[in-house]
Amino acid sequence: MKIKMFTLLVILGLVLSACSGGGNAPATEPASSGGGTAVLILPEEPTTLNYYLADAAIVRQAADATSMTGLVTIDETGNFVPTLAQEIPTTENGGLSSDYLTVTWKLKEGLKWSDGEALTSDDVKFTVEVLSNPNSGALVGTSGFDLITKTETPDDTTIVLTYSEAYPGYLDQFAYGLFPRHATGKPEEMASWEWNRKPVVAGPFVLSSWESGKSLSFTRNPNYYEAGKPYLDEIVFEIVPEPAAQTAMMLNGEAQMQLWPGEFKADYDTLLTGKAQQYLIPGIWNMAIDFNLSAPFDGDPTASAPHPILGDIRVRQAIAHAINYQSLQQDVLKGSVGDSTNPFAYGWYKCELPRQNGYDVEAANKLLDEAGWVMGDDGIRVAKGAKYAEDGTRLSLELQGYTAFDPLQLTEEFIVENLKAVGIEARIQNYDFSIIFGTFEDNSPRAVGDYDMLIFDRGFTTEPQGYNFDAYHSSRIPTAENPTGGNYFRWVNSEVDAALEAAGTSFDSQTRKDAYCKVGQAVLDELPQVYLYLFQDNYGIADNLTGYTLNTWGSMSWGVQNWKLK
Amino acid sequence: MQTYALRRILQTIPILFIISILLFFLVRSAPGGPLTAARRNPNISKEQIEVLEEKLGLNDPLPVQYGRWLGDMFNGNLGESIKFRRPVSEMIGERIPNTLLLVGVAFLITLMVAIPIGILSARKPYSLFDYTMTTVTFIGQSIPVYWLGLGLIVVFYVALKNPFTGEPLFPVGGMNARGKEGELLDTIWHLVLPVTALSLGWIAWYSRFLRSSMLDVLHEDYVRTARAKGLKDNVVYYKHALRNAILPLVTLIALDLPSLFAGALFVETIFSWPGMGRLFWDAAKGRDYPVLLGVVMITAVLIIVCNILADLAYGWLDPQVKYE
Repeated sequence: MKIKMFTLLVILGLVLSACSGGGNAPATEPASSGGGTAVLILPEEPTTLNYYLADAAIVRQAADATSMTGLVTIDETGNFVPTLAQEIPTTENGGLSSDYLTVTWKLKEGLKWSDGEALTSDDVKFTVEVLSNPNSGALVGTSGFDLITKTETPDDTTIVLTYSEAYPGYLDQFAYGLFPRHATGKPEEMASWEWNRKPVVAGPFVLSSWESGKSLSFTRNPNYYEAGKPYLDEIVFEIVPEPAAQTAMMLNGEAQMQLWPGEFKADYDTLLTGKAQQYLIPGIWNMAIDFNLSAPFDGDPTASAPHPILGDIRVRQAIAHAINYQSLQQDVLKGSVGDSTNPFAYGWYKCELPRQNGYDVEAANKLLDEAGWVMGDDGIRVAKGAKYAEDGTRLSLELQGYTAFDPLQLTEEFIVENLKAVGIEARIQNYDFSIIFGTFEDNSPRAVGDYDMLIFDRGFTTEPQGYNFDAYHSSRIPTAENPTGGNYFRWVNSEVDAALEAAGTSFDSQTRKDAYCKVGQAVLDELPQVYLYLFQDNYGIADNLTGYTLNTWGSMSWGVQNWKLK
Repeated sequence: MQTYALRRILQTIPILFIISILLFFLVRSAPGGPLTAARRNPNISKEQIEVLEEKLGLNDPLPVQYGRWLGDMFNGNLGESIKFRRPVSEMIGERIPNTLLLVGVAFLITLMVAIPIGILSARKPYSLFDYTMTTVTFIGQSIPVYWLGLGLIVVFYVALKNPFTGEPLFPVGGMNARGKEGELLDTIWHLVLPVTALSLGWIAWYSRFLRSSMLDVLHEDYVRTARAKGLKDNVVYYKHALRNAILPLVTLIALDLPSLFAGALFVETIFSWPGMGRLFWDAAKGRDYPVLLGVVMITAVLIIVCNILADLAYGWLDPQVKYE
């Protein structure tokens, strides 16, 4: 609504501007290549520059430019590349021992922190000390640090880590930045370090001022490890909460990058022709409808009793057939999303699995007829010889989602229409975000198993084991004894359990991927959920910015050392 | 008068105590909590969230948490933001001057414009001026501040440019241009659009109010008496009528004064103004309880103080009011 109104207003504005004869001078003078200031627009203020304390994606947008330069990073292809490390430790180069229990890192020579102090192996050791301390207050990036039993630093550039068990994520855990021992504090006080708001860093830019609620300004780090970089002198993150004001800034050339523009790409590019364009890259947020396979509202959160309607796989197949995926992605969401058929829709574990129950209204109707659901007078089917439902039960299901997210609401309305066409009534019931994603103790419907269908987007990062084990393993069905479980479908499949266990213990990425794809295939076969689409991250980028890289695994400022203004 | 003031101030103590209980439990009764966003984050394990919950004391019984918060308040400590890990008093301290500047200027301009319009409209009711102002104020009252703000951006930032430099006539938002922090002229330039958006509705409302209040008073016997005595028009209007007509306006102003501190969420959001309104809204969205409670408690105190001030101002404006 807002967005459309703004577009209209801007068109009106452009007409006015043409009448007044103004607006023909460029708003900013193009800076010479190299040097200059780039402005990045953030919709809200990062809470900290310490990535390990971040509860939301906004922190990384700024932290990537400064404090998140670690031993390695993940590039846009999803591969690890060395940053402060000389090379990636592997079994081939001897960095990784053959039993996978010892990892030897070599730092580049002559590294310095932004304050001029030497960056040595001791700082890596300190980082391990902090992140393995259970009282550090760290929220993210601590996985695997509890497995490191010994950290040795034979010289200033060598670190030898000994693990208690083989840990496949041994690279990922060093991809998010190091702490300088001399400029921080005690590990157990990390949450209150002054460093969090004024960090001494190894990254390309150093904070020069943080004006609460307004902006964060950074100047180039003279001690950055890549010679001659960063090219820009300064970057500024402006906090602009109003989406229309953000787009207006891009229109006037006052900013070079806009995070998550509100407009669809086609509208955006038309509005900003000659100034900026919108770019889309696959994100990690994967939209699906989850089915409750167990009876809801029976006071029993376990999988014992089947769902009266959804317990029959033919009904789930019919629902999958009823959805017009192509039209949902292209017409309703105007191509702002990509196709997705299974949980593993991106990353090194991506599984290219075809949609088995694609859009086919005839097939949907046939399945429902077979399953004992006959068309009622009002166009909604009624049970007559259905597997679990008593005769006379209407084929009516609640579709739960969360409020205040436009793409979700558009999707829900479209699905309701789709299902109605095959005689299924879906009743939209949206709750506040905090209820949908609440805990078992809070009686969140999905946790206690009181729902029919649930639609939301979910995502995981380069290390998928934790999320997927929690979501699909039968031991993770949430109950009073096991309140944090994430198997909200109440899905029990022993082959899936075995595959997940195999993926968690293997060190070989191909073996792991095969195991995950087995899970993905089982999701398509048994339909505990139906995948709809994959969100893409969108950025508005000014035409005068070059050298940027859009990286699913990074953030808007990933690779900012290579940016130039033309 | 002094005893009255003292009594009123003493009365605020139990009131504030009750307010603090109500606010605390109201804020905590909203679904979700400060860790809801973390629960959605694929990088954060459920175990880590539980550790943090314990650390923040969010699992303690609510009365215990209330007691802890109240204890902190007695020590003049508003606690630490869960999201920013900064002292709440520091965060509020940063925002109050910004909000005072924006809302204060808007308020002053409102009074400076609305009072003359109200008086002139009442002096010559149903004249061309009165009709024009009626129309303008009705428009001003009807336009949502949100729409007005966007409209101002489109016209004065996107469409109209400075003919000499080619730059936008007014900035899209913020308090200062980069590198001009603290420069008065630059700040004024940045204030023009948000103050316009904020004060238009107020001007409409205040001037209408004063007009009708003035018209009521002008029909009173003592005004007729004053006229019969042969007093000049100006003396009748400004000395006799206005002083009485402005009394109800004082109540209105007193009720609006706390927003000087509470901020103006819509205008602050549209014009990227780092004020209290946005601090409150962000804290409410993120369920950052210490910040949220800090802001609402300060607002509650200010509302009470402004009410006392309004009552005292009554006595000063109207000698008939007695404090007993």
